Amino acid sequence: MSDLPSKTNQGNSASHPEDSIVASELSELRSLLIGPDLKERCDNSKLRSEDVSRVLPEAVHLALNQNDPTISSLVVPTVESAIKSSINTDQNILSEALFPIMGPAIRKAIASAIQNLTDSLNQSLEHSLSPQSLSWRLEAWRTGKSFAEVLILRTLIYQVEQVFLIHKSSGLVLQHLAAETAAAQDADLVSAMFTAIQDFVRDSFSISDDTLGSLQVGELTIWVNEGPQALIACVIRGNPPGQLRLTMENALERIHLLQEKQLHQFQGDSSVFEPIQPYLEECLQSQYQAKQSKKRSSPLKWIGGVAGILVIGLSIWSVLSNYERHQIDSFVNQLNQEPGIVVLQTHKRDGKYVISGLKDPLAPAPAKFIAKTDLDPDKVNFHWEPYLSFDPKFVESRVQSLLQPPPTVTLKIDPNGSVQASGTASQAWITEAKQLALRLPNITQFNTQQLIASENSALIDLKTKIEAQTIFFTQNAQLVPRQETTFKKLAGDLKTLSKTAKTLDQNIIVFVEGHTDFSGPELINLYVRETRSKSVISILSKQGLPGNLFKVVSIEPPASITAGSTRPPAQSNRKVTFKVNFVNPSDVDL
Amino acid sequence: MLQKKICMVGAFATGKTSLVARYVQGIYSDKYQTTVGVKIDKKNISVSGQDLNLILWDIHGEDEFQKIRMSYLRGSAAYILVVDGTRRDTLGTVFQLQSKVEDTIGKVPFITMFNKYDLSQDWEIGEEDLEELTQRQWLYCMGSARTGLGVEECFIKLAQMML
Repeated sequence: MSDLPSKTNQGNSASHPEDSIVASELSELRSLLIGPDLKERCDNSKLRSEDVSRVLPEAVHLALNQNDPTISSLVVPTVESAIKSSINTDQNILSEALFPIMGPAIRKAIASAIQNLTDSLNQSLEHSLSPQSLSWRLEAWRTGKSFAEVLILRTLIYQVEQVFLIHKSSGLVLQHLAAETAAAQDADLVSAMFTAIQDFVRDSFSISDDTLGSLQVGELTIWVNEGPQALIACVIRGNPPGQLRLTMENALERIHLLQEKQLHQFQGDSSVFEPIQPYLEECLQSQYQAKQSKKRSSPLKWIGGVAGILVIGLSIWSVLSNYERHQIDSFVNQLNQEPGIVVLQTHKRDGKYVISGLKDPLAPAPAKFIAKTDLDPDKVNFHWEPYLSFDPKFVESRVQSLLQPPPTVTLKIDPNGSVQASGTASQAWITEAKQLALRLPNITQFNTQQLIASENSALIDLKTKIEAQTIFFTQNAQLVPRQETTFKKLAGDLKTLSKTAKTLDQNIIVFVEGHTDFSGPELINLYVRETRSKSVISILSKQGLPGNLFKVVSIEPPASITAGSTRPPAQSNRKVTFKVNFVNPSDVDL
Repeated sequence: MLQKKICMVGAFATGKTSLVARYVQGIYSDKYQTTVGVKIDKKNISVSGQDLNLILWDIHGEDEFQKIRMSYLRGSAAYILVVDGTRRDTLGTVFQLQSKVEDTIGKVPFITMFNKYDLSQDWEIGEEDLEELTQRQWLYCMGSARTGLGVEECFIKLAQMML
């Protein structure tokens, strides 16, 4: 402004005085109003740009401070196209610019995802084996839902499962969001039906302006917030907090603010409402039951806890100790009932039980009884002094062991210590057993009366055989022919018998018994009988048998034969039979 | 994809539910079930290169005991007036209903469908009736939910009118 007067003065000097005064005044006015270089500034785009650049930042700043949404909406397309253009030109520029924030953002997202996964796993593990989880598993089985669904349902305080943005007049769904874990139905149908219900309620109760604010269906609650053009309906499982209403209200307000025109002109194209999804996502809230926080325990609680543990420990120790004691007592009783074992003392030393007493060497090892109890074999030691038990079982065992009887001998031992032997055995064994048996303790007698020496048995067999032989005679005391074989056999048996008897320190006498029939006078018959006996002795003597072995015996016919009416044939009584007698027998009564 | 709300309007037992069932699911049942309130179904179609999601509101039929709730028609992009061709009085009902609907939601496309066209021996709609419709400049079509005759064509025609 300092050069204005000079310009005015120049004008005055160049024109008519009056005109020049007017011109000068006009010039001054122009100069005062618009300045001398305005035209130049208007015409010069460079200067104009410079002017705008000076005020533009301030203007933008002012507009933002006044919360004018227009500036943001105007800038968005420019920024978007600028970014697009930048990427098309050179991707590296934006990559480099975003690099410092991309890394942390990605790390944060990954950490968040891992945290969610860990929380989910922890929750699953916590609930996998608890009694509560068993009931949930039962519920899952009963209802046909997966365990995860039941788990979420039961640990949930509330969850907004679905959010509908519904066009108010047509009931058409503008946007619909559903939580990942929720089972969403056909949004178009639900939205329309919901609107129909709204209409029905409004008509039925003659409410023109208000709307159905909430619906309750089983575990589901439907909250509705209505705006001028659209309404938000949230399908909620559980008990939602009142704060959710505010969130819904805010979302609805912002949607109406941003999309008022689109809502008014809605002709069925819902894609124009996609940008407002973030506002609806804010409504998709959920809250699970908080884990029981780990409160810091007070010292008193610690002391109480330790005391409790000690009491429980002592109780357990006491119970276990009593149980062990009971086991030992029971075991000792069992040992005492066993023949050949006498427990005299039981005590505990160095944490081990020592059982001492007397034990017959024939008694079974006590250790084998431990296996049948719950006792630890390493915790029980034994100390036994040997002794002899007079239990019949052990006495018999000792007798059997010492005498070694052949299988043909049976030994019976009575409580008085008397051994009764029966059966057959060699004379040598019998003699030895008699001496040995009495050496055993508690054996007072060895009875062999029912025991037959096997050699004597052979003698008796031969005796029986010989005594069964019969030599027949004719009426005239003549031998019946063809009895040579009988004689031969008889002589052989007699020789064997004589020889065997000698080995047993015995002698034999063979009574050759002459028989006659009942006819004729007795005197003659006596003679015939003796003759017949002598005749047989003579024949046998000729076969090598000594004559002093035999003794003649006359056998009278039995009374029944002489006097009876049923007489046997005379022939059968004209004979010689034999009787063998042992002389000087030892102790066997033959 | 555009969403369009379409209402089925008519006297009771004219076959509105059967027409929707035939059109959406391709089925027909002889068993008559009266509609209480409203039933909603949907059908995706493509007309003149435009994908449409038709939300079909099957509104209960009107008779002397039960009037149609006009609130159900709010926001409709179009509606179908269903007439039972074997009951001429149902045409009179749709004349009344149409004016009520227009009063409520304004002028939107609609089509009159004469249902039960397969029952030709019982047919009561005459030339003069059709003439009246022409004079009113109402579009109409004949069809049968039982046989499927003309059903899809009727819906397509209405959809074309909406675009």
